[in-house]
Amino acid sequence: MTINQMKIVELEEGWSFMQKGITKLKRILEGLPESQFNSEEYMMLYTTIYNMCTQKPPHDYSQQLYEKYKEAFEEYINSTVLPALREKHDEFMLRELVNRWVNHKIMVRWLSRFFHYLDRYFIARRSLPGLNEVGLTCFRESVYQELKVKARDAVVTLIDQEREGEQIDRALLKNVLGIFVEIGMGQMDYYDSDFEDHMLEDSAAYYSRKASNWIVEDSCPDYMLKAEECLRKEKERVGNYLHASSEPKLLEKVQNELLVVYQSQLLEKEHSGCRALLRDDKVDDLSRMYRLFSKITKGLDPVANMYKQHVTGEGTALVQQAEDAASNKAAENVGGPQEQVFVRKVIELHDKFMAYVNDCFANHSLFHKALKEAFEIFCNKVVAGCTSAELLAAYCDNILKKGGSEKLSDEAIEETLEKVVKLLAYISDKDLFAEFYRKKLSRRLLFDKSANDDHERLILTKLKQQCGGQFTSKMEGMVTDLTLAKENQSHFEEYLNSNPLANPGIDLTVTVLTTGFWPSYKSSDLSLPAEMVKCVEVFKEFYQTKTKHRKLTWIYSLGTCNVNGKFDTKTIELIVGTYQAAALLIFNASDKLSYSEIKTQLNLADDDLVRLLQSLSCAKYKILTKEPSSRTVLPTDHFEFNGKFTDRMRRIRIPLPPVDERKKVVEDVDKDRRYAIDASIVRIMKSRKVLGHQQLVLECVEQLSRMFKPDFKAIKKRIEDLITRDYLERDKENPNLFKYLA
Amino acid sequence: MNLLWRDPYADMILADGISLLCNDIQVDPQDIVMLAISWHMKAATMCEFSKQEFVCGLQALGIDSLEKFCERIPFIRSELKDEHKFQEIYNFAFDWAKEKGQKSLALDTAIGMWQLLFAEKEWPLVEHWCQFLQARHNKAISRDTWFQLLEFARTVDPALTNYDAEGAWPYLIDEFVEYLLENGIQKGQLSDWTH
Repeated sequence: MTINQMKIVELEEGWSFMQKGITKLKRILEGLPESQFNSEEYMMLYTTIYNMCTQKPPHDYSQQLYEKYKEAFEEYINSTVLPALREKHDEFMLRELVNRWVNHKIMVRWLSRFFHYLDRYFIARRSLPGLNEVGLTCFRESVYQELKVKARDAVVTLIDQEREGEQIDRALLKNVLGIFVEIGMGQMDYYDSDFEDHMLEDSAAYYSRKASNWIVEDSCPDYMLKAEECLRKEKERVGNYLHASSEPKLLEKVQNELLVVYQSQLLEKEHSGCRALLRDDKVDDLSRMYRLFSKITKGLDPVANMYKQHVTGEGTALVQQAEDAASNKAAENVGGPQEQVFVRKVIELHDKFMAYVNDCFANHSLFHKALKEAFEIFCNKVVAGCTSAELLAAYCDNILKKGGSEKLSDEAIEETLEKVVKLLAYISDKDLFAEFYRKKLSRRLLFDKSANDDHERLILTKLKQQCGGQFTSKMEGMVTDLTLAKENQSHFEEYLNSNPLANPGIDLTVTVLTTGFWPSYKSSDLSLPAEMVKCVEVFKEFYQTKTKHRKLTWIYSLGTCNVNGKFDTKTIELIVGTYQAAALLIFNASDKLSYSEIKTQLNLADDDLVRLLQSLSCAKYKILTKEPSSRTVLPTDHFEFNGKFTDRMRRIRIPLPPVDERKKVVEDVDKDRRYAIDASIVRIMKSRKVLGHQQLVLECVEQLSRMFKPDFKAIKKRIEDLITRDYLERDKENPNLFKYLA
Repeated sequence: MNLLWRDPYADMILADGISLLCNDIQVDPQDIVMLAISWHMKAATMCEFSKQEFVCGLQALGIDSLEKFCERIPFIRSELKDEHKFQEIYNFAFDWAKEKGQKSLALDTAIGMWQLLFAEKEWPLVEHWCQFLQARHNKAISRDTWFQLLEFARTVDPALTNYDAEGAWPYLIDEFVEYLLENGIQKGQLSDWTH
């Protein structure tokens, strides 16, 4: 066999052959004149190793060759590489290092090819580190370990130079940092601990120095501009030469030094901080503030807080303005133009600050919350004696009634209504709004003052979407009632036409309403004049033909009558309320009547009677003359039909001054609230059976918050009332615990 | 022996009988010990004992003669010092004193009872409480408020340092606290009691 016949290669002999190859390789690496390896040389070198490893023991030199492989690197590094590196410094040293690393990798590649047979059998069988690894480890252990600190410092110095605006060799840095990465052979440990930690520390120190100057010298917007620029550049730096894994860490460090450390100082800057930016509407700077602080944990909290304070301040100023305007014009009626101005301004304020949330603060929920809380603060203040609930209802009325919004387009009206409904969300007394709204709505519907049926329905739809069906069911009922009442009226007219005998001889329009939907009205026992009694009878008869089990209650106080006044010079049509008409008609029988005679004939209470006599004898149109003539009606006065009365118009409206219904609305709401709280407590206790006081109060507030914000005292009173009524009892041991008594 | 005090027209002891009884056992009818005796008798109504209440009560107290009755008085009086028994007597007083058929206790009666009870178990705020009720409340007192007031007197110190406005105290007690604060009472005069 040929193999057995081959001559044994001794270690000395074989290695001296290998040495020659290695020397040639080193010369090539050093750039000395030397020809490239040709394939024959390469084959010879490989074969020598192969032979020396495949000889029978004791001539198998695998172990020795494996050691000599490593020694070859060590010898080269110690004799050539390290001396070359030691004599250079800074950037030059870095360049040398990069070169040496490149060369070393080439050397490893070639030598590991020559010694390749070791990898295949000897190393594999003994699970030793591979040739490539041994080669690289040599560099790491001697060159890298010796130079890493120097290299790192040089790199960091260059980075700082670049931060100061100098041009640096970025490619060089990228290569140097490549060594820190590659030396880990797949692990980032060397890059992280030998370079990155220090670099981060240095960056923090660098920006800490910068920030401490800027925060003193610069305004808040300038500081933020610089901070944003720095962050952008640091990000770029990572892209240019740092390892990608450094980006979050580096940015975190820089943000910490520039933003976290000085956050409150920056935001609180007196003439340029967050408050000043809000005050001066610096939208761009505020957007920048958001961008910067949104990246920091809890960084937006103080910004949102100041935003909330600012909005609250602006809103409170509006309240104060309205308050001042009202006290200057104390005589003016409630619900007058001052209050309209207030609501309009609140809407404008909301538009403005909602735009801030959307544009500057990227729709962040924190700012929505801040806006909401701010509006809740001042929207629930009492403005010039009125709650916002009442003002909003009055504002809606103004838009929806005839003549209120003729200048506005349909779209503008829709938009305004939408905004009013949004504001309602901030108001805790939603039930109070509903009650005032219903009062106003009933006036619009009953006195034909509503400008547009579509708008009425539109706002109800919006209210329903926001507050739920229960909130609007009565209002919707009212609107529907009116449509039904119109149908009913036309049936009534048909009925009269087909029953000529029944016709009372007076045109009569009756609006039949469902009691539960409408605000409660006083029904009085006014003695109607005979003509009107007939009307009522006729209608009753008609209504009986349609339905059997319904009870009609007549609300005369809401009626309107057209009466012809035959004055000496001409006949004038008087448009008056039913009370006024009844009073006028009794003067058909007698010319002069005393207060008490009128009172007996009409069967009215004093306050109603005084009001209506005042409207007929003391106001603009004096249909009755009063004795003695004065501005107020007294029970001792006498009244006479004023035949001499005349006016240039053929038809005049004599208004009856409205009663202030505010107190009643508030009382009604209060009563409803007591029921609502009772119901809520019972509901909660029914499901929970036993519950602590605080928990019960919390759940109750939670349940009712959609309609109103019950105060704790009111809840307490209701709990005690329910205890008295044996719905609940206190636990005998723990007075803070309530039990439901089924 | 109850025959001695029995009403001539009903089988029970009424107001006249009670004053005779008080005379015999040498106790002032206004003395709080009469309330404690009534509690032992499980009397349903103030100023009267039914025959059954009286007989069962005496048996329970182990009294079979006037002498024994007189001897028992100091013991009954000592029971008022027992916190637990005092609470039972206090709670008993509400139903005992109120008009039958009413759910709550008339204010005048309540104030009288409180003055009697809190003279026994001293509560420095009792006069302020009664003044407050007359000035601000002037309505009957519910059972809940009655029961909770003793709890309040027992657990909340007179300077109100451990009063919790978020607690479940009846609103009348909350308002009493507000009244004290408004009038600066708890600071000035009351600090003496806490020392």
